[in-house]
Amino acid sequence: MTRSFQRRLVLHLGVAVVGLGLLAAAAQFVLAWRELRESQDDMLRQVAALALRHPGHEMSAPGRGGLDDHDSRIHLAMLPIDPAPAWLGSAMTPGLRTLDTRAGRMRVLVQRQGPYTAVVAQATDARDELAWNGALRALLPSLLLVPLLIGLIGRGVRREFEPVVRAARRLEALETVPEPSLELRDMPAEIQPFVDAIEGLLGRTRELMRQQQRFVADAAHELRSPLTALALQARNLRHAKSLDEARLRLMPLEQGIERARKLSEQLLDLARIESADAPRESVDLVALGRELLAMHFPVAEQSGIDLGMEAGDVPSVLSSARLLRTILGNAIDNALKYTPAGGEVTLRIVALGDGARCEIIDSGPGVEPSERAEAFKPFHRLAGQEIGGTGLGLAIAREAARRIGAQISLHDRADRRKGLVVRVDLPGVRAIGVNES
Amino acid sequence: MRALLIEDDPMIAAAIEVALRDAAYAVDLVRDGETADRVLRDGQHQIVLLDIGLPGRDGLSVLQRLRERGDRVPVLLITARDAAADRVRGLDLGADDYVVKPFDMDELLARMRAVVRRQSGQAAAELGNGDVRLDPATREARRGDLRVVLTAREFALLHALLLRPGTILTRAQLEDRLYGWNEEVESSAVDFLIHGVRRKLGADVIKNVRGAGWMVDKAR
Repeated sequence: MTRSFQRRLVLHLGVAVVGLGLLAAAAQFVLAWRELRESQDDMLRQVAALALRHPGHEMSAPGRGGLDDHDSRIHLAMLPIDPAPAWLGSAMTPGLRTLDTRAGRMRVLVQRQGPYTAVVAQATDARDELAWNGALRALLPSLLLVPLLIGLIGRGVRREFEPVVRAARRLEALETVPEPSLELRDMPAEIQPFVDAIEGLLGRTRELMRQQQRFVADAAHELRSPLTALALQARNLRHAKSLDEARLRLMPLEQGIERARKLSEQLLDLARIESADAPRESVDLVALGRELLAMHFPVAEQSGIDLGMEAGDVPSVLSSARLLRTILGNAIDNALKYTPAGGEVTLRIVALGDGARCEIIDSGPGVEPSERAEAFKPFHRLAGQEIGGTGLGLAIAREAARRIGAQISLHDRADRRKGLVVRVDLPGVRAIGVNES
Repeated sequence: MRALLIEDDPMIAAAIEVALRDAAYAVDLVRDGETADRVLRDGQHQIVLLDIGLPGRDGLSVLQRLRERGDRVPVLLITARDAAADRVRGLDLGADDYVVKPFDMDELLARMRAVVRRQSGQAAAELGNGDVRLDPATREARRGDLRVVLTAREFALLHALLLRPGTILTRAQLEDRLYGWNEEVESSAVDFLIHGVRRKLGADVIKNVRGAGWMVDKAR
């Protein structure tokens, strides 16, 4: 069962009310009982006094008196006019006492005045019944109050929780994250921080959804371009008039297929950065760099680009090798794409504080400072470029960097030559058990 | 007929260029709005294919500038954005028609023909002057009982002349309509094509006006 705050609140208050109510009722009962007892004794005294004032009055006549009434069962004997009751025995000393007699337990008052002795007796069970009934009657109001109080508490608590329940229903009925804020009003002050937190979360979710939608729209748009190209290229091939022309037209078709493949692969890459887990491991950056250079060397050689590496004494870092490969690989890919033949691309790795700095330095056209923030957006391509990239490389690198807590940024070359520096700063968490020596 | 293709995606641009050449168009290609703006001022082209999503200057603003200059060259929008608002705006700015990526090339060619036809004030699909008829969709020419299919260049030449029957076109004007920027034009190329058309349809189908150029008879 869920821990219902409302139910527990009602339960706690209810137990307290019932407990206190019963306690008060018990006290009331005892007090009322005593009071009634005393007034019963007073009544015996009054009867005795009355009888002694008028001895011989018919009230005192045995078997006739209204006193012998059925409910209170008070017996009066006026000695010596009346015979002493057989159960009285020798207990003739004046006073009030309780006697066990053959006729049952009795409360007996013996009082003398002159020659007369008044014996007033009342069966205790009758007294008890009367006292009991009286005490119970006194108890009744407080006993009735308990359920009433519980009802009132339940209603009050429910009423206080109503805005919360209403808000919950509204949230439940929502199909999507709504545009403006939820405007959850009249919330209890204790819950307001929670409500604010939910609003904040919804806001962030909304923004994330907007980004996702924009990305999906962009992705669909980007997928359409290579498909358009493929359809056109296939048609051109069909219209070729000679085998040589067909061969000539097959080439762009193959390039188109390669482009579509690359795009779908990069879209998958981007999805994988988020979904797949990236365990932290000790990564030897220099070894990773060498591996990446070897991978890209054929392309560099083909394009006539001098691809090389500058690495100092760099400690291993605790990071994800897979994501680092994604970040640096995409950056090198880009650098090779934008660097003209005869240019150079350098992967530079240096220690930086506790962490490391990787830079991919090219001799391409560079990126204007005003365009640098835009360059990381998915599908962004630099204006005036002949290069048909997917526009996803840097976006992928940035996502991967975010996942491992690295900073990626674009800079001018330190030596003021034309080109671009992609800088990746890795946070200072060094691999355990690996040191600089 | 000479077309200007304004498209930033190099792969799509190259493919369209090939298809247009196949369809007997001379094609020039530019990749960005600024260059397009500059080239369009020269007025060398008889039809413009304009991609809306361009780097630098947006395609719609290129179109706006063009129409503000009073240029009435037919413009077909190519757009990958299926946002209807863009197309509406493009048409309102003076575009003659549009296609949405991914489009069918045959449809694009048909729309280009239709746009050119509408601009020259002709309702029928065929061009003609009462003497010779030309079907742009099939490149078939008819003259009397004669029916021949012309080569791409021959078609382009006859098409250029038939668009304005009774008007003399100079060698330079014909070359302009038949060849793109990066095509090498031999000095005798136009003569060679005219010879080809005359051989197929009869010598008097194209008249030579000495020292001026060539023409087809005004419609009868």
